[in-house]
Amino acid sequence: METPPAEPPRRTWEALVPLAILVLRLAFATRQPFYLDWMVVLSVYWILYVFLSRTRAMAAVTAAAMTALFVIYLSREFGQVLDTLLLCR
Amino acid sequence: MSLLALLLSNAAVLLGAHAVLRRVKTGEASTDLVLFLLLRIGLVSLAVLAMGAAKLLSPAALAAAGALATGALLALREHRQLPRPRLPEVGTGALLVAAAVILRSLLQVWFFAPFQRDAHTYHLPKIGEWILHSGFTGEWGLDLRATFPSGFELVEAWWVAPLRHDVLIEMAGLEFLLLGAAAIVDLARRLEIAPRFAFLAGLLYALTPGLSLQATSCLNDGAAAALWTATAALTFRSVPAALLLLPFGLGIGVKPTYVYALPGLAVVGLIVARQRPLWTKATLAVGLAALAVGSSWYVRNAIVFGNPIHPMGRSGIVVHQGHVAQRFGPSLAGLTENLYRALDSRIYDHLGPPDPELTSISGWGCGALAVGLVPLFLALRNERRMRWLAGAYALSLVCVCALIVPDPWNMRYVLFFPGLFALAAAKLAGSLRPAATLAWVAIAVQFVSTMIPGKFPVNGVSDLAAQSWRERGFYKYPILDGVEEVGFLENPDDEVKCYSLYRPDFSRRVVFLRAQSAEGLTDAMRREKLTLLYSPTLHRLTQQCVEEGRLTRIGAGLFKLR
Repeated sequence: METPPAEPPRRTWEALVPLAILVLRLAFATRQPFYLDWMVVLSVYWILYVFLSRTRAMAAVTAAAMTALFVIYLSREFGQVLDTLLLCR
Repeated sequence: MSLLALLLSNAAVLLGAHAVLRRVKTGEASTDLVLFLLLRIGLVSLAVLAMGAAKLLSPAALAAAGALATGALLALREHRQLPRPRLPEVGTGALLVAAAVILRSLLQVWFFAPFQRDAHTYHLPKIGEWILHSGFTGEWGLDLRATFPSGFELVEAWWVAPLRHDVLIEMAGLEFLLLGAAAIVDLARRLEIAPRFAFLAGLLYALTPGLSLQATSCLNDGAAAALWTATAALTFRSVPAALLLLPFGLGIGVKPTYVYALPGLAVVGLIVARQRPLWTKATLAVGLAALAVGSSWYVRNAIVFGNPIHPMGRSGIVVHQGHVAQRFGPSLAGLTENLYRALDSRIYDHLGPPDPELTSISGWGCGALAVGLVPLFLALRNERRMRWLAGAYALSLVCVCALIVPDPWNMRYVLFFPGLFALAAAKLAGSLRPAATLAWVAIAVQFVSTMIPGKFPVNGVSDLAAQSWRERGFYKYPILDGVEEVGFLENPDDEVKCYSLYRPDFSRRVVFLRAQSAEGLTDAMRREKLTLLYSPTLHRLTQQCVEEGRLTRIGAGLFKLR
């Protein structure tokens, strides 16, 4: 029987990269409130990925991040769509 | 006769495209579909070029040529080689959604009339000239940009010439939309995404708001994006190098921004598909024919203007009183600003409604930001092939952003990029159910948001639907009712929507007038046997003619020769 490949070691230092992005993004945030920024959401997701990628919770975290981005997009854009549909009827 | 011409010419091209496909096919169903669609567009372009040059672009000539070609192909039993039609095995729900998208698109084709500003000012007037004169003339319109490559207009003319009416003109855009979706499906299969999720990727990309709305707007950016995606699909397969000339030839003929986006494919393609055969007889013939079709515009410009890329010069394309619409060569400052605006603001699509012009928005939709971003992150970490593909997309995005001027409309030139998000989303959807659910929600949202172009005026759709199809037009010139022929004059920067002057059935003769003096203007009118001149904006020559008694003003912008 083949031996399964060993899992790569967890590289916790990798979390410093999204952490730096997050700090920079929050420090120079142009988008208010900050949690409506896709870079903030993705940085947080990246940090969680570093620590949770080998756990069962990762699927839920992924779904939550995608849902958050969906809400961010719709909260900004959907009014435009409704306006168009209603005005151009 | 018109309907017969439409049916026969399309039957001939479909059979012809399949006959050529049999000689160049790869055996991979998704790739062969991309090739078939490219071959069809190539044959359509070739046919319109040939018939336009021979002044045979009329319903009767198209019917005759279509009957001859169809008859010949039937005699060669080409129809017996056609595959038996079968639905892809992607699930009933996906097929129903695809059917809804197709039906919705056909309704848009039927009820929309050309509405977009650029289309009316410089894309479509040349089609008016071709139809009026049953072929090409030396007249391309007064706008400087009318001399841009017109490969997309060839396909539009294909849907206009048989009917001598523009009611189906948007079908050209739909052909390219289908090509783009098929190319994404092929790329997805290359990434070993299961067929049903590859189909999901195709649907997500086809419903990208910018791309979907471009398809029915008579603009060519969506077509250029589709051809880029088709080039990517063939590049990542080991097809003979000569076959890559097929999308390349068509791409350069549609829009030069297609070339701006090629470096990513060229670099990554050379690395990942090194074992590519160079050519076979059939692929070389196909590639060279496509190259000839696409380069014809550059040859024409070289002959007429002494510059193959006219009106691009060392100072770029200068329009509107010195404004540089496009720069010549790359700019680091431009790259930085374009990327910053794209990723910091326009990606949210919140600064304007979904519209083919993409003013201050990306038009990438929720399929990119909401559904594609996290899966792309995961795919880049875990998939080697996805990293190569993303590298090609990213390098091409950077090249385009470095070469275009920062302006509110420039996201039109990177409509190929949301394809990457669609692929990543489909990849994850195959293994994570919530991702698949969100992808379907995104498809639903994008379906709704691409029903009506955002810049349509209030009651725009109901006004169009209320008109009979024969008369359906977005811009009307009531002052010209009953006028059968008219001269047209504008200043270089006026951007008058002059395509509507022809009327939807091209029943009005329009003559573009160029004159340096008042006397020259009236002489030109007499030479063309015109009594009426339409010049809706203030023009020095019309003012002078009125003052000198050469013209009489009989309405807003309408003048009569005395």
